[in-house]
Amino acid sequence: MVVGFAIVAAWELVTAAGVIGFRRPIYNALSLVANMLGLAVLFLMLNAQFLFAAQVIVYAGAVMVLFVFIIALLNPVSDLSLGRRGGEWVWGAVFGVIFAVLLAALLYNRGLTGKPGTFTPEAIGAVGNVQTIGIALYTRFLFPVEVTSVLLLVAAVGAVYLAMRRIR
Amino acid sequence: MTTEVVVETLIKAAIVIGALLTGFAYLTLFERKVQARMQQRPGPNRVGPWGLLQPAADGLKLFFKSSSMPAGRDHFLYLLAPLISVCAALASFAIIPISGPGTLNLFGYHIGWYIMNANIGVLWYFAVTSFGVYGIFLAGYASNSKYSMLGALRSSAQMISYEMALGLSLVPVFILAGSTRMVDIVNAQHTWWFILPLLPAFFLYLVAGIAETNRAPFDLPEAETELVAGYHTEYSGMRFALFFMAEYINMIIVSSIAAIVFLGGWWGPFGILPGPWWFLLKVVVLLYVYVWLRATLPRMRYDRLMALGWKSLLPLSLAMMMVTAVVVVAAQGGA
Repeated sequence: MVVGFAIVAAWELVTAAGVIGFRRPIYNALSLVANMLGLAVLFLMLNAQFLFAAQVIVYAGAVMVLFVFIIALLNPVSDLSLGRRGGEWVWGAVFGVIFAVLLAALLYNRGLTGKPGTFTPEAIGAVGNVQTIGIALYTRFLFPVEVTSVLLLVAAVGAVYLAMRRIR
Repeated sequence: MTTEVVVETLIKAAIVIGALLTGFAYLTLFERKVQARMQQRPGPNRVGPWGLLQPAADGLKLFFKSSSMPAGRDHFLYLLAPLISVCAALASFAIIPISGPGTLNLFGYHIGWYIMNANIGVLWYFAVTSFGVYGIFLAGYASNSKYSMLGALRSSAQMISYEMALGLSLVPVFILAGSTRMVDIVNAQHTWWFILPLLPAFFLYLVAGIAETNRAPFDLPEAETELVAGYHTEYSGMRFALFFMAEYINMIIVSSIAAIVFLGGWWGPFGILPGPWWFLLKVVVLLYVYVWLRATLPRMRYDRLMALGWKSLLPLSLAMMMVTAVVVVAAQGGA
């Protein structure tokens, strides 16, 4: 298990570096896809099979396909000729530090002890993977789920409105 | 996970891959023969008795063909694309239980009739196919050709659109079976196949499945009259064969899932045949439907294809899902 985790973690780091390292945008996007696949594999190793499937279907299969679509259609080879502005490095460093502090605070406060929680493989296995997520989403987290779905509905209606206005 | 489990899985995977590749080879012959008979001609009959060695001859020909590559291609992605397609197609078969109930007892071991009996079941198939889109899209992108790019765009848009209808058309099955695990779904059909209560869902699945595999009459990505050969225009030799292979294996898998989810998998109406043969028979019948449609229907126009997917199939499958849910809850004595 530790060896598997080490391999996936190394994969995550390499692909994450690829997201910002490659010079051609399509490779950046594909690195992000590879990164999300690694994340999905991590879910799988944590016995969260449903999250694995959802991660691959939603992020790698739908969201990133659209990114790759747009990159391929915009012909970004020409966009690369835009000169770099000098301030990028500064802002990158600032946000990098902010995120590092946030992560450190999270680790410090939550105290990752490595102790198993209530959702052990046995507990999940008794109910079923999909069922566990479903019960959690539709009982304990029902309100956030409904709010999110309304938000998505608003976004969809807004997108349709914008598209229709252009046609008229 | 013990060594035994790993070895068992590897052996099963090797057998399934071998069977799928053989199935692919003979599916091409099956398609050519059936289509030929429908068009009043004999079909391939020169190589071996009844043309049975035709797939081998085709394979050899493709293998020894010189493989030309387009100029200005993205070399890495050009080579990667067919591999993604084939791997995604092969991997999705892992969840298909070929027979049951119970296990195959061999050399003192109890071996399941599947590679994995995952709780997520069909979701595995959707995860893997949604990744297969990349194979097609990258092939079009990396080929540096207008035809390939247009074919890839059409194909990705089509696959993403129809995946929703495909997924939603299976939700009534999950509601009835109370599980997404393939084995549970088949066991729930011991008395009644799900095609009887869920006939509309079966048709929705069939149509969406044909679109999802880019087959006629929804084979817009490869429309010869407009796009030469769509996303694989610039591929030749074995690399072309890999795309071909992925398409046919996907047909086999969509048919297998239909056979399991709607047609009762390994259960037969009379106990004449053992389980695997019933399963095989159902898959072959569904593949025949594929070929039949291709020989019968003309290709759809692209905007109609999209309208069909979004304005007909998607609402219908949503409605089907709601009706099934209401009926099931009502039958259980109200919520």
